[in-house]
Amino acid sequence: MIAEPRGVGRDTRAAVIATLAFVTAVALLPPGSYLALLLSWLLLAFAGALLGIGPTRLARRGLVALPFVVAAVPIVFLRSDELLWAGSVGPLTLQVSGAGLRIALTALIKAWISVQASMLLLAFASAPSIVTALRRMKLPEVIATSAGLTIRYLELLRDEARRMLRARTARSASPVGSGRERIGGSISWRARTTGNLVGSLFLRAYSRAQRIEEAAASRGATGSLSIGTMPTADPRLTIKVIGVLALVLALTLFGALLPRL
Amino acid sequence: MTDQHEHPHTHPGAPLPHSHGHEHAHDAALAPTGDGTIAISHLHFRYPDGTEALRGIDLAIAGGEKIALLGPNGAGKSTLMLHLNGIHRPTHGTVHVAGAQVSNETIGRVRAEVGLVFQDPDDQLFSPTVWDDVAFGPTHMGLTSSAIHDRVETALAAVGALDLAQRAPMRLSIGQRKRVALATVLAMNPSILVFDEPSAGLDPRGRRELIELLQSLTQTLIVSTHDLELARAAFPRSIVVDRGVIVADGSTSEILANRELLLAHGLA
Amino acid sequence: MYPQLHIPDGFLSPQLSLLLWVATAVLVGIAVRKSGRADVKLLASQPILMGVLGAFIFAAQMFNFPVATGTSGHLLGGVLAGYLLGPWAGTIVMATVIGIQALLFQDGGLLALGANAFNMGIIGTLGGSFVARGIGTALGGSRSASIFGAGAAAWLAVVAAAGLTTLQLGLSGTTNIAIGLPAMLGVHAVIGIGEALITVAALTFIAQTAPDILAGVSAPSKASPVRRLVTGVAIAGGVATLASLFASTDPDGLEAVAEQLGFLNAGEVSPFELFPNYTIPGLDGGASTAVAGVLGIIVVIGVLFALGRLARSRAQS
Repeated sequence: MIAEPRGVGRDTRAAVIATLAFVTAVALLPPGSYLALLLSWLLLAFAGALLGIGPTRLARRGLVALPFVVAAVPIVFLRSDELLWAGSVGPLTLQVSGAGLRIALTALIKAWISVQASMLLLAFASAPSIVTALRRMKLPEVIATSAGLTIRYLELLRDEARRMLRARTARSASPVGSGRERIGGSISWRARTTGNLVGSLFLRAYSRAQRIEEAAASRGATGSLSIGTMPTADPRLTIKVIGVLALVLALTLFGALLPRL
Repeated sequence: MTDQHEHPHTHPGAPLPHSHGHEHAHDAALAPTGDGTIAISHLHFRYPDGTEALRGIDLAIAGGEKIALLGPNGAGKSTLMLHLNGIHRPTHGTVHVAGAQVSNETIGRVRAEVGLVFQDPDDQLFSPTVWDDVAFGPTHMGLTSSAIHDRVETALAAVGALDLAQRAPMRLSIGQRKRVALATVLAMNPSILVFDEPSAGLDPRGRRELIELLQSLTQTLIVSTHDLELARAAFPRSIVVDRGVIVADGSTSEILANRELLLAHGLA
Repeated sequence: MYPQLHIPDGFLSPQLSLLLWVATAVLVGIAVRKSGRADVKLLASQPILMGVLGAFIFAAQMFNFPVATGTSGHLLGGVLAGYLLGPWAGTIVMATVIGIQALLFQDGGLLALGANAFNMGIIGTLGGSFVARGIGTALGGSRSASIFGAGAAAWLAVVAAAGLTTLQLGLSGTTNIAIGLPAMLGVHAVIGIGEALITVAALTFIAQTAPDILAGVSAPSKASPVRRLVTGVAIAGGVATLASLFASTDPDGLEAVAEQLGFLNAGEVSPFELFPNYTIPGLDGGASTAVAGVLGIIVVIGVLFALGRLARSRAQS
């Protein structure tokens, strides 16, 4: 995605509210509202284009939602209303329910669209600025602070974990010689060593937390640790929110008006 | 300036200084069969995100050689090292370790053949006691418990850490942890040892002890380091890597005397 | 990441999502107030420790161990977090982690966040912690008893989360309970074993190497053990009852219930439409639908082309 999110250092509340409202509008569309869903996606693609992200790239990245389709597959074959096809394949009798297909397809498309929406939000406003926006919207201080720290130290700790995993893999060898040994140890041994990895990482994280606390205290922080200064409030926030809500209302209206399959 | 002291070419599978004779009586098939050679041919490597880290590496290392890998940060030294035990696989080219090409079929043996000691010992030590950590490798290999016991004792003795066996790694000093990290790898009887910045974080005494330890090892040694004095003291041959290619390969004393070369590649 | 318990947006009925959002918000709100109390002595300030341990949970979820060829066990870490930080702070951390997973990694939807945080954070961490403490106390209250309790609770948390996820999907009409519930519960009963083993092993390691940290961080509560046990059993019992209740109903019966509760919005006929039955007013029959279709496709392709151009020019600026 683009190098430096445009929303960094600005009040991103409007973007957060817009995303939530959009996702809600999409979720409210009744099953089978394929046209309304297409319209919603085009709207999203337009926003993406404004951010420098082409529609095909956006669409492809939305496919991370796809694996969840397995949850919806059963209703396609097990519902008995609006049978599109019924017959036998080998020893099995199968049926395809139109209602089930509609529900499953709609759910999948909604998930695909919603994923893209939150990706765009992230592309526009960096994670820390989203946390700041939420803090402004009355997110409790303890959650905002700890979320900020989690985001800050996420990659660092994941790197530590990756290195530890790598070191474990490097010592996960087969013996040079006969093949009669039980390679890999027993399940309980493997679980134990994995637990040791987790425990070691915890101790490292804990010491790091202590060091952060000491560094913060020595710089005079008292009580709550607010990360960074609050950007100036957006004067046109109300207008933007109203605009967003109007757009969302229009979407919902289209959902009711456009024909459904 | 001290002369380079060429280490005698003992066969790299030779027992460690303090090993017990009966280890070999237990199971000759478990003794390292590798000859400690490395042969890399036209190695190219590109990361998934597209970065070209290695752009054509050709390298031949004989068993028992002691080699310093030099170069600025980002040159590709770590990437190259991670090819030696199969963590990375070439985008093009081949890597042969102890005579066998690194592949999915041979990876199990490659890991036993090439011991990688990472820069941060904390990445390598994750068990409640030193003994457990050193025993991890042999246990994974499925050795009998008496074989494991022998391996662990031998390895700890070789690094001078037998007295630390029941201690918790997190309570050891950095020098002690580095020695234990080496022991965890020695316990797998590798014919090739690879170190990533072994002297980082050590005080002068720790460094001296490290040099003595490295000099006592008979395996093929490859050490990636910024520490030019370490290279001079223990590694007769140096390979300079910069921007994914080898820019110099030869006698350490000559390379370190070439100020232009050092400056051009961020070593001075 | 952790196997598919994070529900994406679009799969849950909006009413159910809202209900679970409210429930989660209320419980997390209580947790926020409770975590401010100083009855748990920590060596680092509360938000800092919570923040770093949140990152730890993320990282710990990367650790796996091969169970059989092809499958590996992963960690969710809910009960672990609860044990290390206490039930309330642990719940906040897990809920935050799940929120960050949704926001940063699109693992789970934004509207579905309430449900996901409820299933894995509230039931998993809060409920799991109480069950763990209950079992630990019932078995004598020693360190190993409490760690065993954590392991058992970890297994239960995974199975309960799987069951609840499936129930919620079933209530929303996007999955079939008769198939989904036994399948999910069965699979996660096995996955939960891995969770339990790793949790126990991790806690044992920490207890062995740094008992002082464990004592400070997870100070046993002064509340009556009987109350905790009762709470734990009640939660577990409630979940189990709910699960079996719905499992015994046939899908049509479940749908009837869901409709009565207003969760399903089955396709209703709308008052008037722009293109009735996908035809163009004036043209007749099949030709009309075909023309409408082709026109539609041309328009969409044109729009996409224009958007691609726009994106390129904006990316360069």
